Amino acid sequence: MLSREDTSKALAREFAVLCFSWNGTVVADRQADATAVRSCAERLCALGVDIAIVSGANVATVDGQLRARPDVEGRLFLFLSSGSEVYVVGPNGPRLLERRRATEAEEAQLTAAAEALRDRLAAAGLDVEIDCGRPNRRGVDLFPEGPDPPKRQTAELQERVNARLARAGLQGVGEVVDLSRALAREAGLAHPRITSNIKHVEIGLTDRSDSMRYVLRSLIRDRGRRPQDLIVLGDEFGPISPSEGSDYLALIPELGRSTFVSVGAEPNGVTPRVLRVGGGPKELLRILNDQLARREEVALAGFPKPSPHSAWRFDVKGFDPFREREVETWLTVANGESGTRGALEEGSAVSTPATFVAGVFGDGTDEPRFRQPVPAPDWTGLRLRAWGSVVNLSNGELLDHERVLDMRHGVVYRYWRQRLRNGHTLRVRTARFASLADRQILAIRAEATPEDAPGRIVWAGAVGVTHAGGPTKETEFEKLDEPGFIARTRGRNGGGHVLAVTTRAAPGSPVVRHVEQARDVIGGRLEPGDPATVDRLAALVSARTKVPSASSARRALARAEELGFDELLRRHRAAWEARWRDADLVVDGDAGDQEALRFSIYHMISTAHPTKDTVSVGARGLGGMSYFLHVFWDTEIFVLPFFIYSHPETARTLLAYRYRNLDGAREKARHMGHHGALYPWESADKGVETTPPYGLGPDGEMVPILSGLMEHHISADVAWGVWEYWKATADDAFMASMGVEIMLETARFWASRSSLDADGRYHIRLVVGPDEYHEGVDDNAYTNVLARWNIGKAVEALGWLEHVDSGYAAELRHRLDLDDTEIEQWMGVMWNLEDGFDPATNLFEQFAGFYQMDDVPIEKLRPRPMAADLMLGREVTLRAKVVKQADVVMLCHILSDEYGDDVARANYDYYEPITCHGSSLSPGIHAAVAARLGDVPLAVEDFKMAAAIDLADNMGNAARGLHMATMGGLWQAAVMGFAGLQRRHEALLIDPHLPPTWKRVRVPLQFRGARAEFELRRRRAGDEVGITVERAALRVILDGVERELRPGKHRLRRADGQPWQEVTR
Amino acid sequence: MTLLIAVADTEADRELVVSARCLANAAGWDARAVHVREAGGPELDSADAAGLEIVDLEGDAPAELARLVGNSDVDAVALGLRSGAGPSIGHVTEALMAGFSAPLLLVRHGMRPLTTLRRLVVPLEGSPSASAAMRHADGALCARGREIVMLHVVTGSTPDERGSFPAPRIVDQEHYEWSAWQDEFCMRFSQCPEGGRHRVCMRVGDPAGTIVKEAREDGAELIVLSWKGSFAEGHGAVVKKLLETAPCPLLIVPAG
Repeated sequence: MLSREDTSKALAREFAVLCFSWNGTVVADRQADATAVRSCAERLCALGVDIAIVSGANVATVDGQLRARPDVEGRLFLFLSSGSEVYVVGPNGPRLLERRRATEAEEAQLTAAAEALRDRLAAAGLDVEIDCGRPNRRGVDLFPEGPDPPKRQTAELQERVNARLARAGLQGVGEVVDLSRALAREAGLAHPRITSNIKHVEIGLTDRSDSMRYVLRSLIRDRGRRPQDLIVLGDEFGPISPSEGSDYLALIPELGRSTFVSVGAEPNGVTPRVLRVGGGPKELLRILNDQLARREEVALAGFPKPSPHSAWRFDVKGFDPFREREVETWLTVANGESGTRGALEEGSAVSTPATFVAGVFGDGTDEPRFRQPVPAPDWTGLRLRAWGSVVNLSNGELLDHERVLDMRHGVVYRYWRQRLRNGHTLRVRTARFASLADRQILAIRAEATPEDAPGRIVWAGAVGVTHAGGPTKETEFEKLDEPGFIARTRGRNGGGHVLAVTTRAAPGSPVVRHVEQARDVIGGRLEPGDPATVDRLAALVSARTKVPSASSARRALARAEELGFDELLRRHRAAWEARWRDADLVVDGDAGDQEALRFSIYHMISTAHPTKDTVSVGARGLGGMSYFLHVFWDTEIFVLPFFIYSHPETARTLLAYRYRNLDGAREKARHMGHHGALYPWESADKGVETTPPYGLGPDGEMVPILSGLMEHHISADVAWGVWEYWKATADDAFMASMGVEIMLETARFWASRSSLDADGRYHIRLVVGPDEYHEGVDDNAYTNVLARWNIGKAVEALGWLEHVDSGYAAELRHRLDLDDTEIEQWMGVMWNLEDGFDPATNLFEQFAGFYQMDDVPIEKLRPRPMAADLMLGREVTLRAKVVKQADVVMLCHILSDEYGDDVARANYDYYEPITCHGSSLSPGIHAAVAARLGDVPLAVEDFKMAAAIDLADNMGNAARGLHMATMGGLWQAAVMGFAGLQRRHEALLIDPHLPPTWKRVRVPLQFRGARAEFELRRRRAGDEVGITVERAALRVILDGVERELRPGKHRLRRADGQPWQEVTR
Repeated sequence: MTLLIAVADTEADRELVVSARCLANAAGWDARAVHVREAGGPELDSADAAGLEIVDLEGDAPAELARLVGNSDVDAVALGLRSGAGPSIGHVTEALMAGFSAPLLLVRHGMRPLTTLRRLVVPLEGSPSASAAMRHADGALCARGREIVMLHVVTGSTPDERGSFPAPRIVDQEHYEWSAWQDEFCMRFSQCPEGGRHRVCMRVGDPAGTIVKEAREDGAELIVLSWKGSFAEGHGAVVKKLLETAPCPLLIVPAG
């Protein structure tokens, strides 16, 4: 047996996975308070620790007592019902991951075994009761008249049960256990799991060893850990009466190198594998707190640092006033709720600090008036004085300046050395983030250190208003009772914000606070090398229709202050790490492509809110005022796929935004004389059309904007998003509750929008397709084919709903006043809608009359990207075969399971040369299609063109916001194009075409309940794919044949031109 | 600041002196006149310096003027151009332009002289170095009531320089894109605190021809242009063309 000292030594390290039993280990009984454990568990999860709780109880019992809600899903797991159920717990509570379901035959065998045991015991004169209430098992109560006592009374219970059994001639519970096993086998159960808590004997299909094997597989192996990273805590590893204790089954051989600890009494000793510490739930809490403290110690050491890996860092060296505004956009910190530009804390002549909040709009004041975001008060202002001088980039000489966006953790760091005009040198560091763990919280830590002379260093936190005017009606300031300030911003006829902000000395920094007017002033006289460090914490609370009460921001700020900067940062970093786990694309061999992809993924995650369905993704994200945070088709067609396959919860929320705004779409259709739902081309907070009727053209002339009137394909784009989400996630609940209604109402719009002409065909006239150079055209192929597809899928979805829930289907049809006659009319439209397709050539005519338009010499459309309407003139492009952006090519891309490679090839070859990529939406999609078709050099060219849209250092495109659709397009090009992972119905096609510079790419995807990690590489004239499948089987298509990959590791190879083969290593 | 007016008894001297004095007034500079007589050259006999005292010097004119710029408090030089096409700008002007370090006001005989400065055109290719003209215009000439037209001519090529901000090559939604581009263009290349009116004007076409057209149609009194000072093969074509065809005086500023 290990000494206490040895035991302490064995526990004196960090464990990556903490697994513990529930009853007796965490809580003494079901009435015990679990608050302390809850807090520990949530904090450990935030620090990236995985926690597994194992119990025979059900979810209502364990979750009802623990009630832990980690900030992110994927860290806390509940293994319940004796190995039959697995739940993962996130901010919204537990979600079932896996449940063992007994077959009918197994149910019958369980019942037969339990009844046989009951009959044997009855024959011996013992009355027992069978309990059928728990999944996959039958309990036999050996002491029905006795209570179900807490564990501390086990010895007493055992005495009473054994006495009762002895009266029937049985040698205690152990004999009943052996008898149960024999009877279960007789009943046909090959591997019965027999357990006992003395009062009951259970015959089951699963037990705790199944839970432990799941832990081993999913939390150890699949996450790249070793068994020694696991600690298992329980209270009954040793024998209790002749049978083994409940935790004994956790001691599976595969976990021979894990650490097992008993906090229980263990009256009969434990096996040598188990460290015995005793102490019960209090000891467990002590061990959890110790694990917490070890990580806190590590995190508290020094100023936070960015990832040392260059592939995770987006570095901006120096300071260039010409580029500063695009730098500010690049370095935006955002969390789906708000986005803060990366402006210098102390400000400069070229700085534009601003914080934008998703979903909060007001009326603009300039003509034409439309909804514009109401910017939040600026929380980032930190002025600095040293040796009596204002410190900024203009004071003296800039010695070093570097800013780093740590994409892995969503933190922007700044390093700056300045020699002031007075000759002294100061070193400054800052770190800022918008918390992904608590989306109302924003934080900066700032540190200034005199290098060569003692002096007084003073930080002053400023609260200001940015972008005053426009939709902002007024701003008010007031002091908090505690140090800090409240600022309120109110929009015109819209929402508002309340900001509570405070600046305080960081722990250990020798500076003191003085509150002066509208600033928190903190400083002190410092010796060279001593840092003046402050933490600026802010809570931003917003509402769509009013200014929230100050108390809500005060409460949020109090929450942040209680946790402190370090803890907030730890939780934030853990939240980001959890998101990257299912989102990161790892490209070996091309650092530029890797940076472009991670930069895109970082900003897509930053911009979308995973749970708030009042907001969606604006076309330019949360880092700039451009496009006024309006939501376009960019969201569904370009950005949504990333979330569908990496974070389905967010994808669902983005679609729920459309469902929430369905009435606005109905209103627009009605307003234009149609039925159903026509989604607005630009959507803001109310779901109504927000596109301004006119705007300024390149010469400053007024131009009418027709997209709000004619660009109707957005309704089918939304329907496409619904369908894609459903097919890729199998989220039937969403489809039934929201998706089908969106599909039906958009289909109804198309049926109404189409007109039957004398030629016997339906037509959709006067539209604008994705190629916006040609306005007011008839029968745009993209629009018409998607409209037809929309109708067909809506009818299919309704049929599905009628099959799975006929009652709700009938209710929905009644509510929508949808009868069979109308559906027949839709089908008539669908079958007879003109689409411009020529089966002889496989070509779609982009719109009626396109082939008759003027040819333009290809050289006039180069170099690309090109704003052809500007360079050639609007009148020329109106009459010419010049395509602004992927149009028919886009159609072939998004309906790739409807149109095969032959159609895609024909249309790509025709339209590619005449597409000038005058839209940021274009090159990424062209790259995806070119890669799919095996035209890798052109795909690479288009991919790099897309990557340069935001990142080129001589274009400045990002100055006023990032191009979210481009980022989504880059992801699609990488995953669907180069990696060749595309959905085909309910399976994933695998057909990679990797760029020559990509030695390897790793792609994690979630698909229909499965999580799969693909590792693709080129090897000696062939492709190799390693696939790790988790959670559920994955259906894939290889060489046109669908097959199922069960959870586990798989490896596939194909030589060029040859079929795939599965290999063993 | 001092503007040195180099009279040379050319036919442009009258327009030169008028324009230079107007520019000096607008910028708040002092104006001085000088005449450098080169060996064998004629005596100055007809220059009208409008009351300015002309300092006579002898020697190589380009060298003397360069010396004055380098050694004294002269910050800008005004020179007259001969009218006509081809290599007509004169050897003094050509030599000064090849190695110039101070702004040059160039006035050609026959162009509309600068008498009042209400509107000036600053052609900007969208690169930081070419925006030196804008900084100069903002620093010296920006004033309430005076309009500075920031003219960007789109040619199809994009400057390679970091920090450039040419007209967008991608335009997703033009009603947002162009106004945003104009705002950013103005913010990026002008940080004038003096309250002058800045207007961004974007045109497509041949740069020199478009600048001349806009200056003429806009009624601009001055064109302020950045230039790197090279007439080598492939360089200086726009400046050459403007020297020949600009409707108003040119202020050439060394590129940053």
